[in-house]
Amino acid sequence: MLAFVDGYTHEELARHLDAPLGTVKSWIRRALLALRECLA
Amino acid sequence: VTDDDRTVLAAEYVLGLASPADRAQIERDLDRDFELRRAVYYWQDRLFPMTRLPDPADPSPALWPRIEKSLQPAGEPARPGWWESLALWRTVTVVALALALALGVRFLAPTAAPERYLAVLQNDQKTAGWIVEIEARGRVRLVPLAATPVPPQRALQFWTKAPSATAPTSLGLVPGDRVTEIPAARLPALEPDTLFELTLEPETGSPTGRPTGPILFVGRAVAI
Repeated sequence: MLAFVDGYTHEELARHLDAPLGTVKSWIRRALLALRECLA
Repeated sequence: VTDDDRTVLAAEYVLGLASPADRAQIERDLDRDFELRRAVYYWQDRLFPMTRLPDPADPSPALWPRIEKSLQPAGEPARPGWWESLALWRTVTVVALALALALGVRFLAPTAAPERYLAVLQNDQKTAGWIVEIEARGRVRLVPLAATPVPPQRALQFWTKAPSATAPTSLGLVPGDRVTEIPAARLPALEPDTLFELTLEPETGSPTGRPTGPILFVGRAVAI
């Protein structure tokens, strides 16, 4: 959560979480699409 | 570019996740890409009402001196824009919380069963007020984004109804201002699109076993 609130970009988030960039991007992608569906 | 790609790109841009290079590219594309512009407006419009949810907070006294110290020397004119709006960043904070709850479920227990559900409960103004997190084994966490006031002699009752169920099942009375955890045993079979709702009922709960009062918040579960 701090990563988002602190305004990190994908790259910074991946470093912060020690996860591959592609993995972080796919987590965020899934979360955003789920959020869009929830807000529909 | 698929519709999903555009949705994600626009959300990342609105949330400030895009790298400086991506952001510059998006800003160039916005001029000529109507669909992208619509996606950006969608996220701005949908996220804006959430700015009313958090309580206002006063910045610490140390903040202004710190900002002043970090300012560039005069000469470079300020570049005002919507991304400098306080409302936007309040929104980002609330949305980030919602995303973090969704992502947190994955980060904290990556080895557990992959099928989880999330529901965002909205009021009739389409403002999100509660988040329901459902684990694959059925445990439910009901998380308020802001306190829901409950009048005297009344209570908030939490309900669920799967698409295949004929009637809602009560998950019990819940406080309006705290996280409630509901054990797996209370939850009937979980399916995608299962409805969750909070209704206002008499102090001891609905006398009929069905919702009798107004629906304050409602949302349906999506797999994450």
